[in-house]
Amino acid sequence: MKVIKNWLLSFVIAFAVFYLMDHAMMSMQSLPLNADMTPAQ
Amino acid sequence: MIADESRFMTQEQGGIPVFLKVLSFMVLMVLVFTGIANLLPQVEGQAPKEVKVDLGTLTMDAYIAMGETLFKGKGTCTLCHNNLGRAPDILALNMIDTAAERLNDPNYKGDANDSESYFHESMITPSKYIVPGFGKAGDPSPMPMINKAPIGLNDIEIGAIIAFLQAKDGGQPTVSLPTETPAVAATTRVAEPPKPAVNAEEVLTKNGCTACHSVLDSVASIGPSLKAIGARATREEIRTSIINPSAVIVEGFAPIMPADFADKMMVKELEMVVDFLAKSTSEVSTESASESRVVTEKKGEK
Amino acid sequence: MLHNRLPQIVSKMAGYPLSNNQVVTLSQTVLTLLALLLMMSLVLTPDIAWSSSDMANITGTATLEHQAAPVLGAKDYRQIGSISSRSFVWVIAQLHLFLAAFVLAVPLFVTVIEWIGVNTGDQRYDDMAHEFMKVSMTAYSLTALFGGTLAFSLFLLYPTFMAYMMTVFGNQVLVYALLFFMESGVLYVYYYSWYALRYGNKKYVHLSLGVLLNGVGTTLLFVANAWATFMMAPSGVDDTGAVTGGIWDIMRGPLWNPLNLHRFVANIAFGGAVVGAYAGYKMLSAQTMAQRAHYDWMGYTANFIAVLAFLPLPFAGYYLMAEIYAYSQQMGITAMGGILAWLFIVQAVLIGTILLSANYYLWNGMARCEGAKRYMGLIKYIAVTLIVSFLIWVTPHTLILSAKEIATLGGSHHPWLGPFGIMPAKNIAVNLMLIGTFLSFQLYRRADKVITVPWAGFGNALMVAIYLVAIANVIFLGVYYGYFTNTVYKVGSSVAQVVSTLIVIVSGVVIDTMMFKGAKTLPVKWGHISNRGVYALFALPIAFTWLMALMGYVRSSVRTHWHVYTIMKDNSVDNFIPSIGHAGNMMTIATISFLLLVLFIFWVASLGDTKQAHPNK
Repeated sequence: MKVIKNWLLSFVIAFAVFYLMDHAMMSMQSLPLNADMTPAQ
Repeated sequence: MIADESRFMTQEQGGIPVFLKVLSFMVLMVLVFTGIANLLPQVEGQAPKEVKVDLGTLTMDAYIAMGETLFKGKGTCTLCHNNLGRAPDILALNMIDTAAERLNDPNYKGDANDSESYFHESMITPSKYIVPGFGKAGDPSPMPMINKAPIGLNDIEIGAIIAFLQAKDGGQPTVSLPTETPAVAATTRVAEPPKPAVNAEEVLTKNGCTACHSVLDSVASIGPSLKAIGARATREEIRTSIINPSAVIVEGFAPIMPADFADKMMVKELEMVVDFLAKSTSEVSTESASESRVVTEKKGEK
Repeated sequence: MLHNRLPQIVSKMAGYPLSNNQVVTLSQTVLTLLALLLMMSLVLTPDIAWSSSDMANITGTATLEHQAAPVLGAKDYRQIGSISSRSFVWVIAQLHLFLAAFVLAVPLFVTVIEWIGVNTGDQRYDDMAHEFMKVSMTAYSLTALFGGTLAFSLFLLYPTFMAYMMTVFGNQVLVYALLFFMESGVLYVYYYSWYALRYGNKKYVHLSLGVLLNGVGTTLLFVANAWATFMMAPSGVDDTGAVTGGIWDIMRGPLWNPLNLHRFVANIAFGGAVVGAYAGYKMLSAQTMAQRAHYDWMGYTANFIAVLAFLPLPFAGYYLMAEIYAYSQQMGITAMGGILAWLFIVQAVLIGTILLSANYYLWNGMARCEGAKRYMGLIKYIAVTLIVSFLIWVTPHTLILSAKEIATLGGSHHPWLGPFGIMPAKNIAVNLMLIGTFLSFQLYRRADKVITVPWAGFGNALMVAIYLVAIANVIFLGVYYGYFTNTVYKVGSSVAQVVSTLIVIVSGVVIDTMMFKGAKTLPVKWGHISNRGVYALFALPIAFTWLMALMGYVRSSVRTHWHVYTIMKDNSVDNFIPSIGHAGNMMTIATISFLLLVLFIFWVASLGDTKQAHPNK
């Protein structure tokens, strides 16, 4: 059970970090993204 | 443990010395890299050559061709204006229509009012108007000012590019051919560029050659007969005699032929004439022989 | 108050107790060092110390100031016999740069290794640091010799151009000379006082000397970089080349800092690779297992430095290239998409060689430790990723083709290889290669450890998740924005790709550092690596050296037919960009000459250890 929790938590963290980073990096270059990662222009 | 370690130490006993092995390994690697560099296509980036334009003999066709050469060469336009999306793909677009479109754009704040002035403005002050979708918002245009270093085209060359852009999709160039004072060239313009003659006969008649020379159907004795001239003179001599008539004066004739035919004729026309005359050899041989004698006699009478 | 508490603060920072005396010595040396650095910065930034017009009066350049750059003709160029002046200067400059990069880089990591030695109390680090310095000492005088030869040949062969450069840079060249004197002085004191200042407080004096040496060395590098970047993107002069600004305006061109950063990092990678080859050579010719073990460890450390410095290099290169594009789009495209574009295929081969050798070395090195067996299964996946990425990377993009070739190919892009040729595919490939290399590196670091922290399960899961999500993210960004959106998003997404890779590297280092707390260490049997594995240590410096020459050729060639871009035209017979084959031959001449010089340097270094037996014994 603990093992499954570890893996789930890890992937949730990793996904969140990279998702937010993608948004941050693109908006820093004034290239905003929609929530589904499509260009928001 | 000792036996285990000895397998590392025994390898270098005898055989090729380490020094040579290492050196040849390294040299071999360098040669592999060198080989790859030599296998690739070998292109040299030549510095643009300063081409002297002979303004006297320049025709609109030659001017357009010069524009194309500049566009793809010295002007380095195709570095960005290509199908890779960095700048508008000028060669693929119909530039006359495109210019009209741009001028009608409500965001257009420049001073141009037709395709010629629009092209000119885009090259000299590229930041005046940046086509939507190109460049970075707020930044000046990434396009360099074409009349400044490092490209540094002069007014004649800029005019040539405008002529090329106007003509490449079948349009009629509105730029005037440059005259001796290049500063005026890009701004003044004529309504209609002269059309080249269709054939040598037309050139000969148009330029009044028949008035003095026996050529085509004319019989005249002010200048030497040009019938069968191809048998007596080479192509080079014929060309020289048109461009610089006083270079060789045929015995018994006065040096009165005007020296400005080269300026009046387009390069294409000059070549047509030279070509035509050089080919006039055998088909009119008998006639021409007698006629030239006639001419000489007439000359003698004078 | 502060004076009393200072020892505690410094001790805390250092991680272990220091005596009051040690702290005083340390703070004195730090202060001296700061004062010296301040002096140097004043010398370098004359517009702070003196206004530029004062400077002009002092230097006597006032009369020259508003002179345009001369237009060069045939009389402004000279030639030695039938040797092309460009080729001559090319090879000499390249050799000078190779040697200079080496001698500037070695003290950088030597000082760090010395510090590690002090910090851990492990004498082996101190000995290794000293041995690295020994190698670079001979190289130092050779650097100066080639520098002098280069300066003389430039003045001899390009007199008018050099006269103009002197007008522009004025007294700055003397500052360079002054710095060179300082560098020599500090270098000799640093090296020869090694054993005199080895323990206790004196060691801190020695370490401070090391820092000072690197301060001077790096300043030297930056001063010389200004000459190169001025030629590429002149500043502080008007359109005609007449000087309008102070020396600081001239030096601080748009490309100066990008080049400073790029060269600084690349030098460390290069220096590490060269001393790695030294260690590798000594290892292969070792007579005893103890010697072999020592040099194996030295080679590993040098390779570690080289690869560590190499990993951020693509990003520094990206920054330099971005600044080139920002300065002149035309210059950027000349480098990346014009006639020089082919060269990036050679670059890809070289970087691929570097990454594959580095990985190969790490994989072979895993034989040193029993604990590595756990990870052996992963290596084949890393190998496949690296090779596939490498092949995508070398797939050419826009080719300059003849009409017939275009017809055969059905367009200027290959129908199905084409998509691999464009930037997004290459960005994916490069990032995956870097991630793969970091994975090899991380596995190697974990090979000799048994992790004992209670949260090891979560830590491992998080690391795996970061790798997998990062790889997915890199591929997603490249494919989606690279092929299905517009150019702006395509370029923008490459930044996010790079950051993905950096997140892997940074989180890998952080997570490992935390997980290694209290970890059980398995024995590492130094010397237990196959000789084949050691050859990677020779492949690395060769690829680095050739790569450095190649990139120098690009950096110089983007100026096209200009000595000083947009200001002074190159009207010599050599004002064209040579073909890649010709350039490759020049690089090979330079590289092989450098190789021979390095062998000479190694030989001289080992000569010092050789003692002839007394004939009567």
